[in-house]
Amino acid sequence: MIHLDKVSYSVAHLGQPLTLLQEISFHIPPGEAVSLLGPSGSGKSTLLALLAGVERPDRGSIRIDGVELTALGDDDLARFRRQRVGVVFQDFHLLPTLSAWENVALPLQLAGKGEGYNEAMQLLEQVGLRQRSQHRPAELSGGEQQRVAIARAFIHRPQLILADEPTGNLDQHTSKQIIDLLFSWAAEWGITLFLVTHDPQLASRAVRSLALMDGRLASTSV
Amino acid sequence: MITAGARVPLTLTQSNSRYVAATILLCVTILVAVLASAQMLQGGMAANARNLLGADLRLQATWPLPAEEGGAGLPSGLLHFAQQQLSAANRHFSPSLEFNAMARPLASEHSLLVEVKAVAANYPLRGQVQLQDDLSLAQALAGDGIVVEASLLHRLNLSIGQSLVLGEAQFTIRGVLAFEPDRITRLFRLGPGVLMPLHRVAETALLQMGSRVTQVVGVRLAAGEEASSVANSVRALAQQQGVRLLTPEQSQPSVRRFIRRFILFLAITSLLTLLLGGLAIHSALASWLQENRQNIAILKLLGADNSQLTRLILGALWRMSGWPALLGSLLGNAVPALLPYVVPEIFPAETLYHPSWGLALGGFCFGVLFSLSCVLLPLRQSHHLSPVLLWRLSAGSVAPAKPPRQTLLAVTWLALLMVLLAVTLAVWSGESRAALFFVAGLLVALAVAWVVAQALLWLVRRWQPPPGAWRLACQALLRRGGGQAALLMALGSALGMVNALFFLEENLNQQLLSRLPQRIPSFFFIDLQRDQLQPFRALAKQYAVADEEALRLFPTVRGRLLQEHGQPSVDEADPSRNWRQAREYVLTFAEQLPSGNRLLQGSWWSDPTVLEASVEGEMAKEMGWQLGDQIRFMVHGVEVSARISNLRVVRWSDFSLNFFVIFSPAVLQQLSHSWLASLVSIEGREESLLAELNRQLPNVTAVATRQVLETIHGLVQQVAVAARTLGVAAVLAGLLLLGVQVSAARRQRVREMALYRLLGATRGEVARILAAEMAIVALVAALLGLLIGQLLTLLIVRGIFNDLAIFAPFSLLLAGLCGGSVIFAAAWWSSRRHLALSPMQAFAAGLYQ
Repeated sequence: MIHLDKVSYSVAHLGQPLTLLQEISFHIPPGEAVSLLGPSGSGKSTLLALLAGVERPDRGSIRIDGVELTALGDDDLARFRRQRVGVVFQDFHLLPTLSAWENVALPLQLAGKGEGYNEAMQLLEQVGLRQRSQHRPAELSGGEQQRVAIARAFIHRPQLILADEPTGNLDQHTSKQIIDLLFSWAAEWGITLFLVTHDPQLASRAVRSLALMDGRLASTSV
Repeated sequence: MITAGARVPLTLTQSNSRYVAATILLCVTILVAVLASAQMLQGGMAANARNLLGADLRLQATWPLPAEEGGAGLPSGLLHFAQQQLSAANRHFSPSLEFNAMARPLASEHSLLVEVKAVAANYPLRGQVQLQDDLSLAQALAGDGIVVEASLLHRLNLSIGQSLVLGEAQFTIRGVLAFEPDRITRLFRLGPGVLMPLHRVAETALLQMGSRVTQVVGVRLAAGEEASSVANSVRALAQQQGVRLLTPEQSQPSVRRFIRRFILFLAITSLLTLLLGGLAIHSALASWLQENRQNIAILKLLGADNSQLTRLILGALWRMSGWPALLGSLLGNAVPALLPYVVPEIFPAETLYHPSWGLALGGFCFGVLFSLSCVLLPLRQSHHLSPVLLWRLSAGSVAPAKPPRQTLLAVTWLALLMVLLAVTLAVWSGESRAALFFVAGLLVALAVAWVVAQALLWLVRRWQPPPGAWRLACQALLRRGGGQAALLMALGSALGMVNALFFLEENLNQQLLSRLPQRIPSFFFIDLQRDQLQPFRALAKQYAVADEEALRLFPTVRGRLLQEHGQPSVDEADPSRNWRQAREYVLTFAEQLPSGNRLLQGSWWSDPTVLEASVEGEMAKEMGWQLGDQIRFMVHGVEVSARISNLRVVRWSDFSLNFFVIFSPAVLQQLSHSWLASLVSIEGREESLLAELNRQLPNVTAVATRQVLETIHGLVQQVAVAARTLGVAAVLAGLLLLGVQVSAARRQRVREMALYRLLGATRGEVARILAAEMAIVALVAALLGLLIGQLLTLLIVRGIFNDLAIFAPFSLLLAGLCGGSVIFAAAWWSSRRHLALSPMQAFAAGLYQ
């Protein structure tokens, strides 16, 4: 499913290159849940951005579901994301002007698959938010917003879900609900799950854990 | 699929959409109002073209034509020519004469310059003369009857039924003119109009050899006949005879020319509003997209490509700009309906108002496309926005700032749009030189404003006031970023335009009217005959000030320019387009270079018997004439030619008698001519001079210079009303831009204020910091406005009046105070709500991030 081969990434800082990721290589088979651990500044979010195709590596190859991301243009990458990738953030990143169901249905609308009302309502029902479907993000709690964000990530049945500390802003009880939701839907639909987290509880649910340290892959554990 | 019609997933803040909507409304209203006014004037001229001519075809001549045997007096020669060349079944002819004369009541010596039209019984052949009471024109002109404009009654203190003396004849005022089809506008009028019967002209003894009179024959064609084809059939012969043919499309050429230039002036002046409005829209949209960068990043992350994003943004823009564009186009369309009440001299009540749906549609499309053009740069920026921003926001870092070149790019883009619009206007009006002058002035003013704004900001940066409100305000101002220079440029240029209009009026008033008695002649005298020179000189000796230059006399003839092959050098299809070639020239001859003239090139003739000519330098430049060229004129039906031996510089602003072309005596001396005089009268004796002149030389027309200047001044005032309105619109556009900038910096400003409050500043202290920041903006903009205003005034006064502009400290102070106060008040009003927020409210509103 995911093939990374010697991926390096750097940014310019005060005129000098600052290496954030160095020679990262790993493989994740389809349907597997993998967590990525590492201290702040180790390059976790950058790696997630590379997998989402919103950043380009300086060197190396990123293949997802047989598609070489480094060979795609911006619009092709956008189309790739809307067909095959879902992203869940720590800060939810819902659109404030849209209601809960409209936020959930957005990927279907962007892909030209109709309004997506029924699909969105089905998922909202599954996450217990059918009654809140007309509410806007500002009218929802953090846990509710994250459930809406997860429904949005799954609605178009992607092959890969990228989750960036999805429980980072939530209390323990809500975090457990969110983790259960992510893993159950990923398992139910055979979706590959790639999680960035500091939370050992969440990391332990994954089949495999990767660890980053100073931009290098430090360890892999099963 | 997300379309423009779907709910917009971008945040439309109230302030953004409000500013965009208000600016589009203003810009579209101004543009459509100017164009609709133009259309009303030109449409009115076209629709009433036959009436404006008083006939289907108009023949006019300024010198006598050979009369039919037995025919006597003017305009029998022209009438004979018309009847001979144009007689056909169902065609009618109506002769008339137009000339200026002095009119006075029977029992008074107070006289007044009037514009006389002596008409035949069948006048007018098209349209109708309307009198204020129920009389018909024929009834009013019967016997010794005469019809006058109401202003004559008022100025000579007369009423209907009383007598009026014209030359040596006495008339009874029978009616008051309410409407004349061929004299609807009061533009360029020196005196009230008088209608009298043609057959009584001889009794006045006003018209003598060389008198300035226009002979007219109106022709009413048979049904179905085309005026232009009839005119073309006799045009060649008419030209040979020195007869000018006017079809309805060519009626009132000087009025048409004025209107075209007036409209061009208004249209180009309105470009400043469009430019500043465009900048405001651009800033509002850029700020809107900046605020939405997170939402755009989310959409991109979810797979929206650039075309989908473009559709979304344009959909939101449509919601912001559609209705104000529509409303603006309707409002602008309605403005001309008010003009006859506001500027009646330019828009007489007879110019009928018809809303133009085509123009409304055009204005609507313009508004939408204009806002579209303003969103292009921010849109381009949003295309380059990466969804990786979402991770950066999560990490608490700040999104990249707007590139500093963005504002400059926007200004350049808008300036290019304006130039394109100006070129279109210039092509449309045929006044490309004037358009170029206006546009160049506008662009230079903007460039100066930009440079000076940068310099003033540099000074603010260098200024180190003691710690306190002013220092914090300076620091805050500089934190606002690169948009400040554009804002100051916009405000400064808008204020500069209003200031320039104000200063120009001051200059006109002071230089022209208040200095009148000392600097310029009191009167011009027209139609002096050779045998009247001696009594006239005697009169002058009695009434003129003691100065060698107090009385100036020139022999004059009138002529039209001929091309190489002897044809009049006029585009007959539209003579008003080539004014220099089409106009009738007053020509003179002289042995010596007249005083007040200076030789630019060549030398003055030493031998008066050679055929030579002296031409005013600017005219020679426009006509492409050089020393040694041969120029030819048709004078009284005779062709004269001479070699250009010198070019002159003429000081037009001193209002003395000046001529474009002066011939050596040998060229014109043999032709019959009358004399033109100017005289500086002893102050307070003008009335008695006129009375004496009227008694001794009743055929001589006296034009009071003050009267001419008052006419010009009145016209300038009317134009100034329109220009001032556009100036205010430009200031409004500048203030909208100010509002946008204040709104864009809202988050930053609230954060700063919350911080000041958290650190212990009272609400009053925070208010002082805010007031100081606004005061610096207002002060810099006001200074910039004064500088640009004064600069424009200097250039215009120097360029047009060839004089030095008057520096009026009081006016400068007043303009500066007014401009600064308006900007300060607007800036304070825009940001007043920020003060009301407590730090906790700022946190709750998510503004303190």
